[in-house]
Amino acid sequence: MNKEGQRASTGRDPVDDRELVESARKGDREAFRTLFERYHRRAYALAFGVLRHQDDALDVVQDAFIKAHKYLDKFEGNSSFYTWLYRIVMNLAIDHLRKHRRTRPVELDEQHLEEGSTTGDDSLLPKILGANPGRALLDKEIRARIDQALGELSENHRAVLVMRELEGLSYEEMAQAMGCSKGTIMSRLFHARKNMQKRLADLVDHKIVENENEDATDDAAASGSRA
Amino acid sequence: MSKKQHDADLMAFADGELDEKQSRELEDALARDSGARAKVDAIGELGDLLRGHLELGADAVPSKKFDALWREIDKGIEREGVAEPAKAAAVPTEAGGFMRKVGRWFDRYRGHVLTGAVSAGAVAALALLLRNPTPEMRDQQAGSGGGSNKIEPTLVKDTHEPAEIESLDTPDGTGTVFNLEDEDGTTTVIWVTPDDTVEGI
Repeated sequence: MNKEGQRASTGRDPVDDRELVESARKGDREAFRTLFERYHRRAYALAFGVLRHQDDALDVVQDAFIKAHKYLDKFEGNSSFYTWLYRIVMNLAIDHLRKHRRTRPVELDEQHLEEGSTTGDDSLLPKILGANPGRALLDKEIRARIDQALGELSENHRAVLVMRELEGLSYEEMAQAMGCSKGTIMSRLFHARKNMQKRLADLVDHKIVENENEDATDDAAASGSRA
Repeated sequence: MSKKQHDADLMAFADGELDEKQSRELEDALARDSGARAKVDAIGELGDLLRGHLELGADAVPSKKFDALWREIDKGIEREGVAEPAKAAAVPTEAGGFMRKVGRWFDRYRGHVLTGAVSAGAVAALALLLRNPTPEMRDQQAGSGGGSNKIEPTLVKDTHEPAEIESLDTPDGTGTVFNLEDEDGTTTVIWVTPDDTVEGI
């Protein structure tokens, strides 16, 4: 993510945010624009992760910032501005899913995570990449497969996965956001991860072997040049 | 770790959802079970992949799109800002007094009152036009000789029968026709009731 996003995610300037919020409350539009500049990409990533559609995600981000401005007086500063904002984004994204629900693959939310039920095909895989994820993301094919795998998840599974992985929400927080039990969240998250792993495993193994071979070639070339 | 160790526990551990005691126990078990350790690591890797993928995706959206988005947000805020003072202006600042209450009631139901007044005026005008003339009126009309300033009762013929309404068009409302008998003859009344409106709410 860009510098603004990085700065936002580290949470190094919560005081600045509070000052900006205070100024925005008094009608300072530029202060609010600064908040927008800081968090719009991160908010977009969240909305896009859930909705999988650029225009829908942009609409949700737009509505979220307008609502945030409208209800700035309700923001008491107990959490960071972004924490408050992402809840608005998430609520709007979930609302959007509900309103525009399409036929999705069958979900396994109700399946209990009982002991012994996670063997064989139903268990989490012990490996995804076996290598640096950052390096894998440089590969367009791998990114396309991640995108495809995300798109093949049911909306509820995807929403939970994105909330957890992008924003680090706890099970309890996700249960509140989605209006369901903590057990359902755990079940959705478990199946979302398992399905993602299954969809990515074969390709990633293959690509990593290719990358490792390329690395070996590069290393040989590099050592050759050093020599 | 037992072979039956639940994958859900591993997931909860990876997500930091176990309490301190449970975490310590699971850490000890993971130290002895490389397969379970690999599953926990894989959960972390998948998270890194997804996070990286979504963040790169967000960075790939051209800045121009977000500039346009800000302009829309700015307009949206402007609209919200216009709506709020308008609402505030409708709220009276002082309370008390019969006339003030009447004024507040009128503010609230201004649309209905005005529509009602217009409807009543229209009804009265129609009633006058459709009213059957008395014998005196008929004599007066007959003796007038058709002076240039006289209004001829052309709309309704004197049939001594109630007026017949062929059609009634009352947009945004409901129309009802009454025929009232009295000593002057039959009076036809058309009563128009406006529909409820949410305009301005």
